[in-house]
Amino acid sequence: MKRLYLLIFFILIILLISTNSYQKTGLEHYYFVIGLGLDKLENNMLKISVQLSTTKDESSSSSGSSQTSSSEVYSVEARSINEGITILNNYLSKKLNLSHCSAVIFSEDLAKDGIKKYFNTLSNDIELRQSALLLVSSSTSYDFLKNISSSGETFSSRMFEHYTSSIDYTGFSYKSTLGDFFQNLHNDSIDPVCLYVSNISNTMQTSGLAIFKDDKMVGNISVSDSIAHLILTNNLETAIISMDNPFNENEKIDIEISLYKDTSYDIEILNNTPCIVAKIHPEGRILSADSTFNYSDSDNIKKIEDFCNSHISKLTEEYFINTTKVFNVDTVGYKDLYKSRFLTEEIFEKTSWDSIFKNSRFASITSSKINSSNLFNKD
Amino acid sequence: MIKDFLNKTFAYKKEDSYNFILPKNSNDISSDEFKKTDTTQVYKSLEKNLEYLNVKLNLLINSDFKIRKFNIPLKTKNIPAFLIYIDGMVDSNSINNFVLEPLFLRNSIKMNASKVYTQDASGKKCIRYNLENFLYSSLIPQNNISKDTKFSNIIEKISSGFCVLFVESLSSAFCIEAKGFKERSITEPITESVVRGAHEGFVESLRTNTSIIRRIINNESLIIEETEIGNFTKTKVAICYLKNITNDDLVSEVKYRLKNLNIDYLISSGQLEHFIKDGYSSPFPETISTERPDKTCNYLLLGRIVVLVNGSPFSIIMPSLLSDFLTSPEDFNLNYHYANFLRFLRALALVCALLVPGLYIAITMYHYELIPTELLYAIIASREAIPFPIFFEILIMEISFELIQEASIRVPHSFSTTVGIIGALILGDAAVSANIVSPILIIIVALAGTAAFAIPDNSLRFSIRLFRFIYIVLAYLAGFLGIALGLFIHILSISKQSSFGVSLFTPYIPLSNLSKNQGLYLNPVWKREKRSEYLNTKKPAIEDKISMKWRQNG
Amino acid sequence: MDNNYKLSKYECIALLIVVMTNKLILNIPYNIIELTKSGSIINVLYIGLINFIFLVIVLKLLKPFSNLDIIDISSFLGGTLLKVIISILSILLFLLAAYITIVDFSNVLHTIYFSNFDMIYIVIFFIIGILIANLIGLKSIINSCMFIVGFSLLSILITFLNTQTNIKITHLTPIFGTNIKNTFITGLSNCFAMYVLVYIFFLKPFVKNQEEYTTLSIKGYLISFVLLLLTTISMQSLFISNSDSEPINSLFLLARQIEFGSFLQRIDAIFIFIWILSIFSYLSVTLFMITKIIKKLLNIEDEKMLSYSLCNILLGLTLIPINISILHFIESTVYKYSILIFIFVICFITLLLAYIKKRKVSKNN
Repeated sequence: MKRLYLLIFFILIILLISTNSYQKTGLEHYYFVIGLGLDKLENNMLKISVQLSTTKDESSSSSGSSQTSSSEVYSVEARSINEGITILNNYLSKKLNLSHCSAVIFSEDLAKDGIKKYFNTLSNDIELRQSALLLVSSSTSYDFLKNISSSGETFSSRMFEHYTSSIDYTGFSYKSTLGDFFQNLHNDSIDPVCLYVSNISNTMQTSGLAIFKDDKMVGNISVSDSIAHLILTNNLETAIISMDNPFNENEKIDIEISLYKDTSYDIEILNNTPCIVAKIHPEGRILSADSTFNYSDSDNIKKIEDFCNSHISKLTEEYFINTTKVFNVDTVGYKDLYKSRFLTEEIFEKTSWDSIFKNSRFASITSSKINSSNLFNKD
Repeated sequence: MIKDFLNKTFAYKKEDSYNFILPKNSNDISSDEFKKTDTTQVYKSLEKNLEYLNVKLNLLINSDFKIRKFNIPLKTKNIPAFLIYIDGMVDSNSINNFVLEPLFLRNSIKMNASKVYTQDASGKKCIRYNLENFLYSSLIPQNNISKDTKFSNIIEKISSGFCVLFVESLSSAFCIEAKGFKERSITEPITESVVRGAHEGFVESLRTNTSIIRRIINNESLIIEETEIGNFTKTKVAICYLKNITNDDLVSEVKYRLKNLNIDYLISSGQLEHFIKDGYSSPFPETISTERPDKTCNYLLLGRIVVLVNGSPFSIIMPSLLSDFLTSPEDFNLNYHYANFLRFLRALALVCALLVPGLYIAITMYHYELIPTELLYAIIASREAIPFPIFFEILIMEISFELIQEASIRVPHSFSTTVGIIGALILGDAAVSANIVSPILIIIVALAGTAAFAIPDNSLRFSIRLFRFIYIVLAYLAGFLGIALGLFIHILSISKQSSFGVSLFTPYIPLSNLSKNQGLYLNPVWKREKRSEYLNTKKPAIEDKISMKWRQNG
Repeated sequence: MDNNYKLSKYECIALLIVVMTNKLILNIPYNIIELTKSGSIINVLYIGLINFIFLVIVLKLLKPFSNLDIIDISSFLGGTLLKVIISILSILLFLLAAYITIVDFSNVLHTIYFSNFDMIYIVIFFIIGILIANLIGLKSIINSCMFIVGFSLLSILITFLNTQTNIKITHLTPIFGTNIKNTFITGLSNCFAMYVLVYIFFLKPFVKNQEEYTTLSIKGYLISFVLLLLTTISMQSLFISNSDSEPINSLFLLARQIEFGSFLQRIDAIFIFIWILSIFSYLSVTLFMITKIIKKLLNIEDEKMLSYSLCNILLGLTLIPINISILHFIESTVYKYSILIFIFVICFITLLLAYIKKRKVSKNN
């Protein structure tokens, strides 16, 4: 037994000395990046900005310790992302770690040039998470990160988290993650989209979605189109749409909608034209009440439903025109949907979908249910 | 020729497990000599007896042996006799009143009872008195008295508190019980306290302990066998089991192990526990030791065997499983919902106490993406001014924590609070203020420490505390890979171990019928119908299928 | 060492599941998807059925040979020569399996967590673990399997359940893949995925109750099959669109996706932890099988020394510097076809002939 103890002791000593474990750096040797921004510069150079959170432990003798956090943005010019990070490592004299990075921001200029080459780096990075947000910013991403940092959130890493959770109640934003984007980028039957943000008076604001054809950004669509995108891709939690009041032309009526059933599609090729029919099943709740109007009357409700149906149908059809007709992209994945009707890919290939897709026609059938109003039925 | 050489050099030779070691010094008294039983008989001559005892017991040096010489006055003559006993082990009142007084005073009255008529050589009828019978039946009014002829037995009895009467011309001696040594009274068990449950604990005396067990079980099938261990001390060891419940093979295995111990002395049950262990080098316990008679009897009734050692207030229960080490005696008194909640908590405590510091190191050194981002920043901020690496930091804390723990147990009771305060102040507050350790680390160490205290069994707790350090080192070396290696080998070695033929992970590994075996989950009291299958008891049923008869009758 | 320890029913099934889960942790489901694309579910069902029929035939043929494994059967059929051939082949197969497991998984660990460590440092942890396991003996190996199998099952189940929230019907369609031929004829080579079949040929002498062998093999097979199906389905959600990219470890990438709310994020390290344990037990089982075969081949009395030397051989093998693409080639081609040939050709023919011989012998008697 004594010998065994000695043996274990020596093995431990040898392991500790002869291996690298003692060199292993601890937490304090890392900077954890929260946001990573990429900007385009002239002559093929990249501007890489990182947002770091620095938390200070302020101990005071009387009342324990309190932590304050602030975030800083550093940027550097380099030829590639990895080179930029290496330069930053050198500059900051701590190692940058991307494992807690919650957003990657491309500037619009860069996105328009194509981002596939950066994506190979990003998706190969073992530290970077697939669940990180992917954003395209109208201004430079450096400015964007700078503005985010001063937005006043105690922990700036929470900023992005809160931002995406707003999808649950607004429908204006869209949780475009690196992983989804990467998947869609590699899938030839669907074109990727991601959140398009702009900087208005130092706050981060969603301005719809950025539309990509292959890996190049071709344009952006408005916020109302992004609701249609959510409806068509079944990602809608709740959204508030505001439409004309059917009973009073001067007023607007607000309806909170959600989907009670997934949107389904009927796709057929007639005369070499794909005809896409989307069946949408929204469920609505009237938010605004009008004093002159009885909302519990079934005829009235019916009328609002009809109005809502036509509104949503119009919304989605507009979205189709704004994306497919204008940019010739398939952001919903109609090809996949159509493909799923076939038994094998071989049979599908014969339809030569790719060449005829740009002629396709879109219609949507909406059957909405308006359930209830708010606290008061009558005002 | 070549074949021979090759065979000699490379061929497999069976490992010789039998080792013969030559005794170094032939003058040494080998322990076999002690085992030789003294067969010397009691002499008829009183002088010779006294001389023998003088030599054997070293009476000239041994101060506590007392010899009282006197004459027994019979009708016609005085017969010399002496009493031998150990001072302090006998009750002098009972010797005075019930041994010496009748011998001195009452002898002439009842002499007639043992008259024996014999004919001498000339055919003349004469009256003789059978002295031995007379003394035995008339003169010593004692309940526990025996006649012995062998000195070995007599000496043994003297040392256990008998007083022995030698009488001239008799070839046997009277061993009279007059025990009267001081012993601790039954008190509340210190190491295992419960809220609801019996408050009596075992004491050092074997007889008292067996009497407590006998009183609780109150059934004639309870067998308390006694054997002696230790060539020097001849410590009394009692093996208790229920004759018509416990498996015979188990009983004979325990007896076999106990009777084949060639040792000089045995002081406590803790020693014995290690002598009869299956995996003798394993740090994992295999038997439960408890101070509580109710726990002991509970296990006895479930078909296990209990060994009591004279001089030790702890009983050893065997066989015992991992789930038994997580069982508190209170569990059986509680509603089964609470009991199961507590058991789950203890199982969690086991894992926490073992792994938490190791996991902390692994996560902060290798797998920091596991930590929620905000917590990560808090940890970094708290570690900003700490000069040591995390590994060193946690070693400092763990070792000082163990030091406080050890110190507060060993120091006198009145100091232990002081030790606790100093420890808590220095480690909890000052170390943080002085930037030696980070506050989060204090939480980790405290969590592991508290979790260890929640484990009811003392030996298991020690084992966990020891292995915690190994996991810390392994985590430092290779993060989760190291911990996984440690865990794998730990599981391997524990599952190899068995306690008297029952694997420690029973009934979970190897998986057996869980409804027939008592595992970590405790059934409600009306559903504990069967004794566990792995014990192979003679009487598997504990209660009827419907134990609550009153429900049916109503 | 407890040479004569016999496995109970549960233990045997657990062993089969441990073998299967380790194949899942490595890239087997991904290799299936790589070949058959969206037709993988049909393909898995198809090969599951074929393998099941094969299994039933094999069990039927094994029935008269109680307490014998394929080595004994081959010596019954063709004497020492055949025994030596089959033994060497199976040793090579098991060594290859162990080698691939260690190298592949160490590579994953090296890339993910220990990038500044040497490869040998990671490998040595595995070698130490399996060496000690084999020194301690079969009973403990099996017990640790029993302990670990629950966790690894749970990890696979959680991965499956979590991906179900992301999975879309378009990931699984067209249901027959690129074309019928690819799914059903080329896809036949996916039969190697049910690696447990190899163990069916070897486990029989270790089982306590010989009559139970048929039922427990079928049970073990079915559970493994369900696991394969679940993992394939969940993997399709991630890899169907970009199956041209070659992941280092597909199940790990899948586990990276798992999130529970906003607190339990990035928990893949826990999965890696469970899988390391699982790989430990699988490797020790493999090493144990090799020692048993060598013992049978050379009539060795004591296996202890054998474990040392085998571990050294394994360590030596893993230290050969190897390109990741060569490793992938070995894994997806050499290993795949060697398993197919070993199970469906060598073992099966040997067994069939031995069965015929046995019947003849018994008829003559």
